[in-house]
Amino acid sequence: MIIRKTQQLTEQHTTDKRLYQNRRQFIQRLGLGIAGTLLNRPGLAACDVINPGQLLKDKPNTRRQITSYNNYYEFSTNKEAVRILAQELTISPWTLTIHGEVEKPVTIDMDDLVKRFSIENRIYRLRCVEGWSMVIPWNGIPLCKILSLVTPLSSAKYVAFTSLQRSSEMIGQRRDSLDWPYQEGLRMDEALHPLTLLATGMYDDELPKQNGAPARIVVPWKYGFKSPKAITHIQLLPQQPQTSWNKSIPGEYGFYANVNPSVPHPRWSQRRENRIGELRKKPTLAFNGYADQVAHLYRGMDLKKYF
Amino acid sequence: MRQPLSLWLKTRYRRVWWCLFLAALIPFANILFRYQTDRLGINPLQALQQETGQWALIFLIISLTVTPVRRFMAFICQKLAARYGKRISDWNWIIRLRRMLGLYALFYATLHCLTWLHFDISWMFSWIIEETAEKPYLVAGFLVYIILLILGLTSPRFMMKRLGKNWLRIHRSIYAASLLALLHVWWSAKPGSQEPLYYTFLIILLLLFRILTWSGILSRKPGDNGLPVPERQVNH
Repeated sequence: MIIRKTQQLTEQHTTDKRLYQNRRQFIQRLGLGIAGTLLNRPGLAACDVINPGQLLKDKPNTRRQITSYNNYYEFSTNKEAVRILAQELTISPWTLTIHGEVEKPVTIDMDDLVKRFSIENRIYRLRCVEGWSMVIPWNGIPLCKILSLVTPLSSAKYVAFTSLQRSSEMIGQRRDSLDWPYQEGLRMDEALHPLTLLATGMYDDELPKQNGAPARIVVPWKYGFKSPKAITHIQLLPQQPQTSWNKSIPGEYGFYANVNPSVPHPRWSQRRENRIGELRKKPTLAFNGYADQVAHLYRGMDLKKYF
Repeated sequence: MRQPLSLWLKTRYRRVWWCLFLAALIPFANILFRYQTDRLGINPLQALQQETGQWALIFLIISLTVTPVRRFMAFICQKLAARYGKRISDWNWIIRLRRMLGLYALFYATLHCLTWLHFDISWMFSWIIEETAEKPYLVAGFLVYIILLILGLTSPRFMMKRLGKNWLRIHRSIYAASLLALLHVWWSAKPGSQEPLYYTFLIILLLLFRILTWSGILSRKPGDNGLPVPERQVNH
């Protein structure tokens, strides 16, 4: 008689599917991590490098278009008024505080921060949830490099960004169109992705105030509201942070907010987009055309549920 | 004797009609000029869609003001010109301008739909169905347009005669259209914008006037229902 042994496997015995599917990358990261430690570089030294040649190329919008059409509720809900109203903002001195689940929290002056890293050029598409899009030549520092300054702890699972609150200069904040200050957030792997940028300039020049000077986040595969402007704080957290638009209208604006033509919005069409400078709409691409670079972050996730 | 305003305008009705006809074309000429010369701003498509829609709604609101304005002006003029007798403070003639105003609402609404069909949907009819299934504001917008189209088609005098009492029943649907247009505006406006508030205020005010007359709080006057009223003869 054959006595079958029942397999006593629990969830603990199995490898997480996402981890398994990314096993090569995981081992690679592990290797780079060790190498990083050996080289005595701070924290997550293994910032991947993106080859800008791999990215889809579109013709950048003009400086005039980029600087005259801005969604920046801190100043106005009128996109063409922001250009004028934002000039009131004092952007120097400016400090950026990085704190939370980190080994070495810092408060650093913006000028020092810019000097400490090499500034990279990134031509990214920006897709607004309202259905329009632009192509913007940013200058900035990959966020991963900035986070390596503070050595994130393993308990850091999410990153929260806080924008400036200063209603004396930001007159849009005198209305409660949103719960001020503006809050945004990313999952840790999204924040560390090489595409995620802390933009400090545009068109090889200073970042215009209406575009989020002195420092803003740019996450090109997500709707524009996930890229907060004029940030003052970056906090690493063990749990998902509250984000402004999600808090305001949770049914319309999710935490992930990946550009996704198959998840409709009640007002604006997400299948097509209105590229500034072109009259006729064109199709919107999944992850705003950055699927090759970022789709693996969401493997196994129901993106209709986590929109 | 100095003529009261109503009489002065009434005796120049053709000219008043032409002035209004041309004035109502100014927004169209403005949009067309800016379209041709690339002056529609940073986002021309949005400007085209929003402005044609705004003007459709503005003309709808103006056409709704005709009846209350007629009553209000008659009231004011009767007080001011009482010494000349009631008959010369007659404002019934402005009712005759209302058809044109309503047709202009239809005209701008047609432009609004055409810009959407051409630039947004690219005449892909399968997309119309997809989009409409997702977005309730489009359903409201379509209903408004269908109502305006029916009212436009039944607006000529011979249609009025043919439809008889039903004409009035059909044309009362403008009240439903105005409420649906508000829904369309609210559902499509971005959160935090104030513009829908102004339209809502005006339309509620204008519908309130109807509720007051129907309920009998304000007495009914001939012409309130929009049918032609025999004009009083003016003797000089």
